[in-house]
Amino acid sequence: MKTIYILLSALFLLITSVSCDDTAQTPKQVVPVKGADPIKIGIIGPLSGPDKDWGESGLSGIKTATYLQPYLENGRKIELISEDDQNDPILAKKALAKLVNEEHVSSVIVMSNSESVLNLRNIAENLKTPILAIAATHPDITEDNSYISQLLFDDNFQASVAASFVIDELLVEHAAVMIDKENPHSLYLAKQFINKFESVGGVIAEISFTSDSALLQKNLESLKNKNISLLYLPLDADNAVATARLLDAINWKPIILGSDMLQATILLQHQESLDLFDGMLATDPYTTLSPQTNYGKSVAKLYRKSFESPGTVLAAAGCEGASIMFSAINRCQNSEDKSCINSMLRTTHDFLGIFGKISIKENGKSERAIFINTINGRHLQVVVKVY
Amino acid sequence: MSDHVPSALFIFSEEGKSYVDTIEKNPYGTKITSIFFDTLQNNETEYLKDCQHVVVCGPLAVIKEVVRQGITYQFSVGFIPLPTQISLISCYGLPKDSEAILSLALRNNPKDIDIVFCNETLVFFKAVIGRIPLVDNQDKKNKINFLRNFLKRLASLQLLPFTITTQGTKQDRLSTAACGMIISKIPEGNFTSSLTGNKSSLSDGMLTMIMVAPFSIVNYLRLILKILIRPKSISVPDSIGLIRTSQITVQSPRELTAHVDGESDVKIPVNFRIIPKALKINHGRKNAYEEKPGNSDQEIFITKSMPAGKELTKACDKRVPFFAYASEERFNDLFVALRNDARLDVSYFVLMFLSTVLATVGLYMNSASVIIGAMLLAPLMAPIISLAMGLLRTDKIMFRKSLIKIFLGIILALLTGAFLAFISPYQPLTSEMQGRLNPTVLDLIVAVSAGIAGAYTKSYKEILQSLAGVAIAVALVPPLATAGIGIGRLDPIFFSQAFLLFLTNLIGIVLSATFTFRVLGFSPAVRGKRGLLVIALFLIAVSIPLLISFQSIAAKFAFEKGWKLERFMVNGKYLIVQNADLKRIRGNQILTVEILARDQINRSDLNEFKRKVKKNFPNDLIIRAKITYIP
Repeated sequence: MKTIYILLSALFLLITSVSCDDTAQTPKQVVPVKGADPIKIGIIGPLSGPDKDWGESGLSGIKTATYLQPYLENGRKIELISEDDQNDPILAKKALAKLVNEEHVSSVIVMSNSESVLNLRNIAENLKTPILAIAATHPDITEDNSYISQLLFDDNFQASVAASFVIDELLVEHAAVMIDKENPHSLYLAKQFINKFESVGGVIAEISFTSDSALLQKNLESLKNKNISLLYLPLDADNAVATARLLDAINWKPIILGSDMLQATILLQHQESLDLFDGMLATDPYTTLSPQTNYGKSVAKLYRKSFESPGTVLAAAGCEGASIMFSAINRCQNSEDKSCINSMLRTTHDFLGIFGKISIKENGKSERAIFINTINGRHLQVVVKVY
Repeated sequence: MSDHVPSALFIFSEEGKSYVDTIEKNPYGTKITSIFFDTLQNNETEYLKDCQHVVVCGPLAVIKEVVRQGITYQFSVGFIPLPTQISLISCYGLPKDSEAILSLALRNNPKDIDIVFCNETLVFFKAVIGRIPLVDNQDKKNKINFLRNFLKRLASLQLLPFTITTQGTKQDRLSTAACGMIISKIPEGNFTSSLTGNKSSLSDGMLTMIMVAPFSIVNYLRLILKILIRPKSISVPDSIGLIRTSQITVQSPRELTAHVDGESDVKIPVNFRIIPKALKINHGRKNAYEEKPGNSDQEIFITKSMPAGKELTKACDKRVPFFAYASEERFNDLFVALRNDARLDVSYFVLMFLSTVLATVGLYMNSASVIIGAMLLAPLMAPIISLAMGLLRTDKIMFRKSLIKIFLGIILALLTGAFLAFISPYQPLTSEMQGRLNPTVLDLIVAVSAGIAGAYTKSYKEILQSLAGVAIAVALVPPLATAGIGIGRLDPIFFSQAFLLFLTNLIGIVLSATFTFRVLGFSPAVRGKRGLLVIALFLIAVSIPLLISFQSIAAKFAFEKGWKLERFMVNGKYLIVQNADLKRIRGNQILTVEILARDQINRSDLNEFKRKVKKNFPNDLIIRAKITYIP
C-alpha cells in the first residue's frame, strides 16, 4: 500500500510539473545594489488639463511596470521623473528638454498624442535620447529621426485594416468619413482610409467636422439621405461624442467605426454618453474580453491591487511601454548608454505583452496585432484581431 | 322515518364550546341537549343510559372516551370535528362544509363499525410499533423539523426482532424483524390502505397490520416514493409484510411500546383485537366493500419478503444499510446467468474472432456500419459484467473465470487484428482508426454510463434487449482491433493509444457495473473492499492520461475557435481566416486554415503570412492554407 501511495504521489508530481508550463515573461529575481544611483526614466504626458485622465491612467500603467520590476537586472533602482505637457506640442518639447538636460534621464516614455510627439522630432535627434511613444500612432513620428520609437501600430496599418474590414467583412461599399481638419492624426487616418477603401472598389463620401452644430447636423442629414450605412470617425473623443449626439438627434444609426484610443477615452471620460456608442466598432491596440498572456494576467492583477480599478487601454500601453524600455536598458551593459538603449529598443524582438508579441523594428515602428473592438457594456469585446 | 335523529346529546369540551349554539339551532328539527364533557363524567349513567344518539366535539381523548361509552351504552355517534382534526376528517370521510358536517352528525342512519383495542386501549386511528420514518412522524406542522426528524430517523433505522401470533381463523406464529409496524382499521386514505389496495372496510371484522422491513435505506426511499407517486397501488411491495386478521399478538425481546393514535403508549407484548360492529357512527365513507363484506372479510398473510431464517439472524438489531445486501436465494436466476457468462465456451471465441475480423475490415474500409456490426457481435460485455459481480461479491470463482475469459478474448482480438494488418498490403489511416487513437476522459464517461446501463439491463430481464445499445455505446472490440492493427504495423503509439481506449472502457464498465450492482442490492452481507480498491486505483491510473488527452483536445478546440477571430494583414493584403483545423500527425502539428482574400496572394505574401503565424502562435506549426478569393 505504501508503495502504491509513493507511486501515485510521484505520478501526481510528474503531472503537475508537466502541466505547470509557465511561459510568463516574469522579471528575473534581482538583488538590489545598495548605494547605487537609480536609473532615471523620464515620463511626458498630459498630467493636467482636459486630458488629465489620459495622462494619469498611462502613468498608473508605467508605475505598475515598476512595481513588477522595481530594479534593473544590475540591481539599480528605477526612478521615474514625470513632466506634464497637457498634450500640448510646445509644452512637450520643453518637458523633453528639461528631462534630458536637467534631470539627465537615460530614456523617455511619452504618453502624449501624435501632435505632441511629432513636435519632438527636431530635438530628439539633437538630444540623442531614446524616446518611446506609447500612444501616438502617426507614422511620421519615426521619420526624420532615429530616436523616437513607437509602441503601437501606425496609422497606415490602422487605416488599412479598418478599410479592409469595412469592405470585406461588413460588406459595406458606400461609407462616409468625418475628418477633423485641425487634427493631423485625423487627417492622416482619413486619407489612408479613403485610399485603401477606394482601391478595393469602395465609394467614399467625405464630411468635415465642425464645431458649428447646426452645420454639422445639416451635413449629417445629407449623408443620411444618401443611404450611407457606415461612418468612419477618426476623431478625438470630444468630437466623436458631439457627432454621436447629433446622429441621435436626427435619428440616424449608421455603423460607427472609430480609431485607436477613441473607445478607451469614451470609457474613461465620457461614461455619460456610453449609450450613444452602443455597438460602436473601433480599431484599438487592446481589448478587455480576450485571453491575456501570463504577463498580462500579472499586470492586471497588480494594477487592480495597486489602483483598485480594472485598468484602461492607456494604463496597459504605459505598462507595456515601460516594461519594454526596462528590457532594452537591461540588455545594455551600461544602463546610461543612451545609444545602446536606443539600439536595443529598436531591436525589441517578440516581447510578450499583455495580449501577444510586440516587436520594435530598427526604423522605430512596432509590429503588433490590432484589435477591432465593439463596446459591450463597459468592456471592449473583440470582433477580430489582425496581425 | 326522518333523515335526522329526533333528539341527540351534544357532548363538548372547552374546544367545542363555540359549536353549541350552531348545534342547538340546527335546521333539521333535532332536539339537542348540550352537556360539557367534564360534567358528563360525574354522572355518565344518568345522561347516557337512555341516550340514542350523541354528537361529540372535542380533542381526540374526549372523542375516544365518548366512543368507549357508546360501546357500553349502545348509542350511535356523530362527530363535529375541530378544524385541526384532519385525521378524523379524512379517516371517517367527514365533509368539509360546516352545514354538511352538522347534517351528517345528526343523520338517522348510523353504520356499524369495528373497534380495535390494543390491550385495553382503544385504537381510533392506528398504533405504531418501532419506527417508520415519514409515515409515523407526528410533527407535520413544522416542515423543517419534520424533514430533520425524518432524516435522523432514517439514518438510525434498524430492524428489530418480533414474534407475531395471529389468533383469527388461521392461527400462526411468525418470527421476523421489522423496523416498524402499523396496526390500523381505517380502510382508505392512509399508508396501510395504499399498500393493501383498500381491501378492507370499517365493519369487516378485520384489522390490518403492515410490517416494514426494508433491506436498505435506498429500498425504503423507493417504497416511500412509490407510495407518494402511486398512492392507490394494489401490489404489496418488497420489504413489506401484510397481515389481515381479527386478533394479533406482538412480542419482542426488546423493550418496545405501541404508540396509539399518537398520544398514548402501551408496553409490548400487546394484543390487538377487534370487536366487530361494536359501535354505530355517522361517517361519510363510500366504500364499495362496505356493501360486499364477502370481499373484505378474508384473512391475508403476505410475509414472504419479511426476513426469516438465516437472514433474520444477519439483519436483526443491525442498522439498515444504505445499499442492500442480497442473499443468493433471492437473486438465484441472475447469479446463474452471470456464472454462465463467465464460463469459457467455443461460441465466445468464434464470436470474438468474427467480430474482430469485422471490426478490422470496417476500420480499413472506414465503414461505420461494418464496425457497428462488429460491436453488436462482440461477446465481451457479458464476462465484463460477470467480472463486476464477482468483484462485488468477492466470488473468487466467478471473478477468476470472467477475468480469464476477458483476457483470452483480448489476446485473440489483438492477434487477429495484428495478423490482418500484417498481411494487408494496404495500410491506410482512416478516420475510424483516428477516432480510436485519442481517448479522452469523455470516453471514460461513456464507459461508466455504459457500465451502469449494462448492469442495470442485466438485472432486469424485461429490459435485457437494451444491451445491444449498450454494446454500441461502449464499443469494446473496435479499439481492440485498432490496437491489433498497431501491433501488425509495429507502431507502438498506435497500439498504446487504442489499447488505452479499450482499457478505459473495460475499467469504466467494471467499476460502474460494480457500483450499480451494489446500488441495486446485489452485494453480499460481507463486502469485499479490496477488489473495489484495486479497480478504483486502476481507474485513477487510466484517468490521468485521459485527462491530459482531454485537456489537449479542449486546448485544440479553443485554439481552433480562437482562430476564427484571427485576421492577417500581409503586405497590405487583408486575409480573413474562416476556419482552422489543427491536426497532430507523426509528432507534427499541422494547421490548415481556410482563408478569404480579395487580392491575389503570391509566394511572398504566403511567406509573410507564415512568418506572422510562427511569430504569434505557440508550437512549431506546419501551415497549410486554402484560399478563396473575393471577386
